[in-house]
Amino acid sequence: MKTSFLEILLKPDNLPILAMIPAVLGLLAYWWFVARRNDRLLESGGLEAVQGDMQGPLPEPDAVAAGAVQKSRVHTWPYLVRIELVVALIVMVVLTVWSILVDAPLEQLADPNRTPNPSKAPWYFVGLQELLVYFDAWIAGVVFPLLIIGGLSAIPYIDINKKGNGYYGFRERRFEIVTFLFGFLVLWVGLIIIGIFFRGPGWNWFWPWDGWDTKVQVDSTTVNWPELFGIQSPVVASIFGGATVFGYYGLAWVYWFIKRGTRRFTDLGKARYAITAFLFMTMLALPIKMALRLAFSVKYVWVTQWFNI
Amino acid sequence: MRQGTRRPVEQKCFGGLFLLLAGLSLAAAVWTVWDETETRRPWKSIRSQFNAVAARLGQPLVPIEIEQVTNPDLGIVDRCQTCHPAIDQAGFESEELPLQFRTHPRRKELLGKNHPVESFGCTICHHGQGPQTKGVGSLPFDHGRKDPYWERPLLTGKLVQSTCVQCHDQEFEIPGAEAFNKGRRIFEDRRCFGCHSTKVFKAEYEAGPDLSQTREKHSPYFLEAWIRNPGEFRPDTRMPQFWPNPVEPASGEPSPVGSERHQDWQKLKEQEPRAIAAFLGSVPAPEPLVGREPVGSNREENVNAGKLLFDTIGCRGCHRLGSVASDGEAAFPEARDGEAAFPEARDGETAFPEARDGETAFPEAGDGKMAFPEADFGPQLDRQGEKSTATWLAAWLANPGKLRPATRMPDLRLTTKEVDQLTAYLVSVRKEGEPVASGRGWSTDKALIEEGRQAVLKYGCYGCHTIAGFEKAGRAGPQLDDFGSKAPDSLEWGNAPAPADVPTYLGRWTSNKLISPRRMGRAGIELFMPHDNLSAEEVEALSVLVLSDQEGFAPDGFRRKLDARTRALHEGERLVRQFNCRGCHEIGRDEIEERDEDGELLDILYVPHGGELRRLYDDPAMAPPSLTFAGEKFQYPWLYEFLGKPTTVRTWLAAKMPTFKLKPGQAESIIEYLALRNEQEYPFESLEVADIDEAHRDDAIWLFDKLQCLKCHQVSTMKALAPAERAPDLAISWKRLKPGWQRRWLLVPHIIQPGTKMPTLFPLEDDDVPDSYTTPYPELLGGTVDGQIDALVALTMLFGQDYNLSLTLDKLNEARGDKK
Repeated sequence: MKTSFLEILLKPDNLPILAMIPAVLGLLAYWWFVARRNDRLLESGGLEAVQGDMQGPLPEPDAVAAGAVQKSRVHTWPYLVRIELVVALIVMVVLTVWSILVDAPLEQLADPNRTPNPSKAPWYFVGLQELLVYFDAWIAGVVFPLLIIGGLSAIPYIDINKKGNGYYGFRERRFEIVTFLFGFLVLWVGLIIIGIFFRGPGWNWFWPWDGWDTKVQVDSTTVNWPELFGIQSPVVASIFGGATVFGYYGLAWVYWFIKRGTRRFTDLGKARYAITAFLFMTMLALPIKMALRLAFSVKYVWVTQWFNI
Repeated sequence: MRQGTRRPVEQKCFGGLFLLLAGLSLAAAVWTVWDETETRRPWKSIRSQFNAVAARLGQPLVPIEIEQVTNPDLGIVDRCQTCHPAIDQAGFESEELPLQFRTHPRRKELLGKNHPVESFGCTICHHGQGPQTKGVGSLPFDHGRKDPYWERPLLTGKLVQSTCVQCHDQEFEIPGAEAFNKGRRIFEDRRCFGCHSTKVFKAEYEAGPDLSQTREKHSPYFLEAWIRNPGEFRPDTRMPQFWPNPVEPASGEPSPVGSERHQDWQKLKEQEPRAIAAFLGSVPAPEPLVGREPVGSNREENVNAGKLLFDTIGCRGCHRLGSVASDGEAAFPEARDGEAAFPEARDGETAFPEARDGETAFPEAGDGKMAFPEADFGPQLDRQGEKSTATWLAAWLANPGKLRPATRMPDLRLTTKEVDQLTAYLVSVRKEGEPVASGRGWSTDKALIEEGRQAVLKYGCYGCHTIAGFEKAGRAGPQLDDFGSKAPDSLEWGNAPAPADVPTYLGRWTSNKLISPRRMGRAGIELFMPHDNLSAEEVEALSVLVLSDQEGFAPDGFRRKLDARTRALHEGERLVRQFNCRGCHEIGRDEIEERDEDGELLDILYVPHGGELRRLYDDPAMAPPSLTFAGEKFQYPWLYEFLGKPTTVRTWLAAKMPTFKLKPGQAESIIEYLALRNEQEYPFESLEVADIDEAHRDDAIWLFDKLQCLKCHQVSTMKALAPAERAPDLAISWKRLKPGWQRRWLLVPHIIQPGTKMPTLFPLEDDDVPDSYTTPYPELLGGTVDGQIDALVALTMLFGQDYNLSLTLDKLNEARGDKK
């Protein structure tokens, strides 16, 4: 049985993903537009005035309504609440119409003896599921989610860049923003889109022009990283793999060594740098491993008796 | 910064925006309600349409609401009657009505009796979507057939019968489920059970012969040709063909000669049978055949004597020899209750006895063909001489159970001489110029033998045959357990084109598989299920059977619990089929009344169930007796002993009751079955006999003498008679016969035993008045028929016990002589 890409695209399950793509791109574009405008204002000094305005008392709503006061800051009520109300109404209408037009994508009775193929996680976890292709379950399912949650929680403590408070901008927070967008857009949203639209029966890769075929069987022979260098002995291989991993993280130390004198690094301090660098390098390791897998069929970089990475 | 009194734009818009959105919300809510109540309730218009039909027919109208049957025990919520309101209502039978509005075609038979819709609903038998009243998504409602996630789509046509066994699992045959019964019979008949197991049929015997004695039984070249195409040698063999002509996987058309596929097939067909034959010939028998070389196998008189024996001793009750299946049609009978095998008469003459009053007549089918099939219970024995060696045949005939413990062939207790004669005859049955099977010349090529072993493994020969070394191989084919509950999308269509429109239809897959099994394979999934050339009807029946193996059973309260009587009848019927009793005996018969145009009864034709062996005998009295009234006739202890160890009652018959290897309890089951068929008490029987005092006894003896009973009957060994005149010994009547049956026998012997030599002793006074029996000797015993019969029965019950008939007779004769 073959399912065409169009059918998959329009499956009721996948409509949120379809909606998510323009939503994410649109909001990104809007943010970029505001951020660039603020950058320009910052350059021309216009933003300083706004920042100064932040200090005084809030203007009276009547004065704002009368247009007497420049509204750089306004009351929550009614200015914010009514926008939220409008959005709530819009969401309600959209959801109602959607639920009339599209039936809930219910499938057969759950039967542990007969799982659907492909079996997919809820859409927001499909990215994590995609990681299972490249990592063992304990990494993809346990270590990475913990690091994501822990890393996101750690941001307020390791981010010492005070700029950008109260306004959007790009120029002052390049590293932070690029790092976050890479993690969010590429490693989270991107993997969800791959998992939803490009992974078919057997979690095999299907191009849009292929159509999903339940009968396709893909022969995949994989090698471990040391074997690429002709290392066969398990002991040597595990030493080599460990050296690769430690060497990779060691790059962060090299960078510290090079930049150790700059103000930014002295402000950051060794502990904060260590945490930031570890999280950053781990995040980067993910696409690197994916590339190794896709380009060289590498299964594990580091094989030991106890764990495989 | 612009200063002014103008209100900001968004401030102005908010009021309008609120109004607009509130209106939209309201519209969405109204749409929701309308959508739920109107567009998603197609049944409303269907019920209106039905009301129009009902009004036209003058039937009561139905309200426009859902009709629902719920039954928590069965786990059903069935709303089927919402759109099929007339299903349980008379008056909508007309074929002009749309199917949807018609009455159930078997309403009285099924719904009215034991399957009330109010508690059973519909889906328990028909499957489909009980609670659903509309289509899913954009699809119209289709009873779950196009919904890939619905596990039990509607069963249509005969496939509905595949659910009967959910509740009727104890019955040997389910009344009304003809296709299911037929499917189960074919499953057994085609030996499907050799490779496939299923809950709904369990066999008690081996599917194919034990191959332990191959080395001594066959010739190598014969075996090779046989394996290659068994049907070529023996058209009605159960053994299927394992190298069927190849077909193009995509189109299903036969592969053109010379194509690669065709060449591969030719190579395999050439090589594999040879290898298998070599392998089977190399397997040593667990214990060597203790065969005695038969004597005089090629002597003409032995052959002739053997032929006579074969034709008369009863072989033809199960085996056919010397006839060809009619124009290549399947030799399997149309399933009919109580029907049994029917041997074709010798030299093609139809040996129907003449239809006389109350006399048995075999009906002819409309097109002049015989309505009964030929004996196909055991293998057809044409060309047997080419197949088996004389040594093996002699050992086999002498004691089949010794050679193959699981065989169904009974022991005919043949003498050595008879064995030799039968062997001589069977060895002589060969095609012109073909040699006798020799059992010599087996290949010793080790590579070939190993190749054969691999081929046996590949084709699963061990499924039906016992082969040394394959004892633990298990079933050769997949289990069919729960097949009917299989998810349709999990089935492999292989190279056959899967139907795109109804991917969920399990029945379709099954029939495709049965028609061309190997086409359902593809590269990586090679299939070796043999082709069996099933007819469309057989495919349908088998599909019903296979699909009826579903998960679980209906809850206890709904399953049909057979009462002791019905269960005994089912079990007995099963055994009677298993041992092929009807091959020789009539057991049960249909009465067909023939009437003229005014409805005046002309004649009653009896259509016997079984016992067709009688056609082989010129004199019906020489045939095995009818057992239609056996339960009424025989005393149970005597019958029990007889079944275990048959004794000769009718010494003049050529046919012989064989010794069956009955398991414990089977003889009892058969007796109970025969008794219950005749509405007899079981296990206790009434043997009441009228009291008869000395004086009446003398009168009874006188009557006995006058009726000339001793002309044919004997009491112990009083006198010797010509075989054709003989009748059973009355000295064993006291323990063999029930008095009640004897009374009836004396009145209407020709009905009880059609073609009997027993004359009518008490003729009817008026042919048109039933029961107006008269006695030719009104002066004796008060002159009543009843009194005379009672006295005769009482007298017979004295024979064989301490009663000297000859002495009494002499005395009576003396007295008679004095009178004269």
